[in-house]
Amino acid sequence: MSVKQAFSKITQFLDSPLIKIWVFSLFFKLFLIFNYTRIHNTKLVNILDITKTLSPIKWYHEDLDYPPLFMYFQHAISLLKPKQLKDPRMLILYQKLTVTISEFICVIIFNVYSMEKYNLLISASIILNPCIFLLDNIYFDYNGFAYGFLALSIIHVQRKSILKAAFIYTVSIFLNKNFIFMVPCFCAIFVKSYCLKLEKFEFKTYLSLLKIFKWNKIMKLTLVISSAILLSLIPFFVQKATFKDFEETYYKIYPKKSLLINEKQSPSNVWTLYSLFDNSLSQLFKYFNKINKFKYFAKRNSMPVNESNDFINSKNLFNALPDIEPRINFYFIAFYQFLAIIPLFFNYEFKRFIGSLTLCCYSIYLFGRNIKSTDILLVIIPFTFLVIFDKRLLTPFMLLTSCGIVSIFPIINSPDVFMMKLTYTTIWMIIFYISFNSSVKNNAENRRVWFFDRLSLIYIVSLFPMIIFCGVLNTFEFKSKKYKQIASLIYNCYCSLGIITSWFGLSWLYNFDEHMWT
Amino acid sequence: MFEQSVSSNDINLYDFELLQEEKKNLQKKFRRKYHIFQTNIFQILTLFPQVLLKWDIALITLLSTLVRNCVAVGGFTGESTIIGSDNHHKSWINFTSSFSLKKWALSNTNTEYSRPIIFGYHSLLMSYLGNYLFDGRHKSWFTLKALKLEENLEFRSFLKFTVCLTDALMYIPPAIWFAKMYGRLVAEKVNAATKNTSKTTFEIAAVGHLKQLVNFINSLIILFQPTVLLIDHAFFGYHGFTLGALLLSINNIFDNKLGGACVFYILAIFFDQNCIVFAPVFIVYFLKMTIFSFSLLDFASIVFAVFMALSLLYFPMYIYLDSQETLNLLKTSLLKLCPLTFTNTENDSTNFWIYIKALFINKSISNEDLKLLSRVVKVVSILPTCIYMFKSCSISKKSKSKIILLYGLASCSLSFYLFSYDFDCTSIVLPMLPLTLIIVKCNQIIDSKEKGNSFKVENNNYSLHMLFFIQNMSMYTIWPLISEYDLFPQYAIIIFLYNWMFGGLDIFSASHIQLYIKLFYMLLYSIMALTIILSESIVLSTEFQDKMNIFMFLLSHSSFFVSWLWLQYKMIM
Repeated sequence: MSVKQAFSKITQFLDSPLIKIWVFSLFFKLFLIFNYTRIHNTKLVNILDITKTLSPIKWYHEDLDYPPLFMYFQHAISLLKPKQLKDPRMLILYQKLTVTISEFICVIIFNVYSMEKYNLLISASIILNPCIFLLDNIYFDYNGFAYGFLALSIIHVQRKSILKAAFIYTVSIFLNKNFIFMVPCFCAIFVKSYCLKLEKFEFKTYLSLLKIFKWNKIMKLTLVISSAILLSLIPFFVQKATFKDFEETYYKIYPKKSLLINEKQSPSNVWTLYSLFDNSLSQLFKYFNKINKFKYFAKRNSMPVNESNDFINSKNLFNALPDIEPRINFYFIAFYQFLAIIPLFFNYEFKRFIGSLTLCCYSIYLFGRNIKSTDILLVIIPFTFLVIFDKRLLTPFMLLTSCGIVSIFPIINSPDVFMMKLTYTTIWMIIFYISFNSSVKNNAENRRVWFFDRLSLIYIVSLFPMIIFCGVLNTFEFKSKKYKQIASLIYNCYCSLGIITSWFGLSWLYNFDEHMWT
Repeated sequence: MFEQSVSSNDINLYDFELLQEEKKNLQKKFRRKYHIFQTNIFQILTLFPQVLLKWDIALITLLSTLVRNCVAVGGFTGESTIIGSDNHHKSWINFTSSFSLKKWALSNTNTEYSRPIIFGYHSLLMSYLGNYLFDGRHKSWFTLKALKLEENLEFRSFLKFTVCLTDALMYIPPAIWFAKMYGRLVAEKVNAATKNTSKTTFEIAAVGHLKQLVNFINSLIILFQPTVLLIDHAFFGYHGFTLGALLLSINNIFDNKLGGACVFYILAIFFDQNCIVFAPVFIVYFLKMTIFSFSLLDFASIVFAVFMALSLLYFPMYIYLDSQETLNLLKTSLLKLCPLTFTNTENDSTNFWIYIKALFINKSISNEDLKLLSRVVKVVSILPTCIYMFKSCSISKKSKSKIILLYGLASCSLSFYLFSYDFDCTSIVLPMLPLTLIIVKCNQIIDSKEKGNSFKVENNNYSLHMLFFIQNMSMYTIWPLISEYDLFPQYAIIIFLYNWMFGGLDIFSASHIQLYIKLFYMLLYSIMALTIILSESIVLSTEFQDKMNIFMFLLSHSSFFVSWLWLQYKMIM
């Protein structure tokens, strides 16, 4: 009897809508797993050899910047590896299969969540997201796994089970190092919705300030968070790590010195535009130098001009504009995160929280240091939860996702998947933009969308000619190599313009449209 | 007309909910009745809003392009897959390296040049494209000597891209057209029958929506046809062009445009001479519909169209050649059209005739005799189809004769496939086209409330199980090709994808089928799976391997023979 029950449960599970959608996409992934035998992500190629030994301190002597829990995960994978697996091709196959299996965890999480009507759309859009699809299966990464945990903590915030959310979020920080930048926002929502009691507050003496805090709940929260941290660091303690080891590990993950723009994967953020601006200025500068017109330029002439063909990637030294110190990055991020978090203290509904979380991620992506173009997922995942609330959010969402996905294309530059990444992205865009458009709630006042609808639509559609144009520039070699660099410059600037515009749109709605958030 | 009543935007919210409710009821009702409502792809499509179907053409095109690209992704495993895989490819490179249309057109000895004229034009176009795009960097691409495929990922991707491009231009649009047009034909028929029934507008609208979904899935069924995907994209070949031209010609017949149909059939046959397997049925149909129905004007227009098409085809040659050469050219191109003359009788037959030969050890039979025998059997096997078609097709019963045409095409091409002297497992692609179209025919919502309706639906469901079995069997026949070039992953994934999407294996969960039939199918499928797994995973002795190959060949051939008989039965019933 129990066998029959189990069987019926399994069939019920397989019949649930999200699983069906995932299985459909799984077939396409399987083609890539079995036949695409290259791993672009150079860092993960040898990770199984490194994590074979159980000594977390030694792991970080190598050139790795993954947080501890992810390394344990890799350690588990290397333990589970069959011993007779010697052929490098089979090893790659094994690694790719682990990606799919780990992604299945994310799918199970979403399957529970997707029982309601709109949630199905959200979860389907996340598990089919081209960023995750391309990065995990072609570029090779474990994004589906890591972002599944982040999404789970967001879901728990929505269900108002703060302790679980805190635990899972803390664990997820140890899976992906970039999640730490969301700490302010999560802290704000934890403190405001869980630890503060403001209803019957009367200020009598300074002692009454203490009554604002629900002390037992604060204790619980700190206990949960610290237990999560301890749990993630247990192997270090087992190995009797000293404080110095921890420090070293920390600086390995978050290095002290970092480039402004990542060399291999230049992101589409503010600094790309900054370097474009610098570039055009330095061209002017050269020109004025030649004709000896303005004194200012003559003065700067004494400085050596950085004559490089590489327009973006080597652009961590600027010619005309001042260099960016890490301090400046920090100020920018702190300012914009602060702006996003303030409203949370007045109104801590889920809608407000997810909006502020999205803006925090935007500020990281746009102003952060050494950001990779793959980090666009940081912004896309929270925004997907947000977009369902109002139709006016759809346009920034469309701009962000289309430009963000297109901006990761250059890191997967193998010719045999070129058509595939284009078609997959287009299918995703058509299906989800239209579904969101038809099922997103209209705002109550039924106001016209302020954002430049038509213009952004034209912008999105003209991404395709842009890709093809840059492809042509990449393919042809006219006289020198210069055109390749110009192509990547155009590409990055076009994408960053879209992402920045979508950030403007969301910020405007977040800060100036009170009706939307109440 | 259904679509019009729905797409008007002034449905208010209440009506919209009523419509949704009605649709859900209908889906529940149909789910037990029709096969297509139980398929996974249908259930996925119903999860998304209805508005998505406004983008159906874009979505179908993109989905089928995506699956083609996914199949085409493949590493170089040991030997380079493309060069060895197909002779077309070699001729392609050879041909385009010399760029001499003249030399190619006049040669009749070299088998590498044995392709008809449009194939030449097509490869010329593709090589121009390649030269235009990559001439700066890869001057050596189109010369065979300098080609090292292992290193040249870009060249390989470009070749696969040309296949995809050809498919996107020639194969995908006619497939969508066919599915939509067939849906409309059925709707018109039903409308004529049930004009005065009392139905609410909601019911009509809901049925209209469901029919749109069904058309969507039907076009996917044509485009995800597994053998074409594997042979064209995992290997290398331009069957997409051939099938697209054939589909266009069938579409034109369904649209009552016989002249257009003729022109497109000529296009197909001048691209791939194997298309001659459809010729008897087409000829019988054209003759019956024109000259034997005494509509001489139609006949004259067809003849005129054919002549115009032929002269346009050979016009470029006229520029290159003088009169002596022209005669020569016409002769060779006629020769090229008949693949029968090309089969070299010195080689042994690859079809089952070789076993017939083995039976008569005492009386030695030469290959010539066998060839003659195979021709006789072929003619005999296609005769009943042709005679039946000649008898039952007529202008007055157009819709019925169109369906008979589909069955006729399937059975005729299958008999060519079964009984011809030379056997090439890639030629299964041609008979699979009409067989796939018959799946589309069976996957329709029959809405009328006639008495025989439920019987008809039941009947359709039985046929669908058989047709999906034939699809799987066709994949089984191309196994030797797969095992030779180590394409097992793609092969397995495509089979699973097709059966999962369109419910090819639903027979085991269907309630209306008797147990012994299920067991029979189960046995067949398990034998197929077992043999494939055995020959893939375990290294066998050559003797046993040979026996296994013979067994596999006999199994697939006999089941195709059974399905050929079944087709005769279906057509006449």
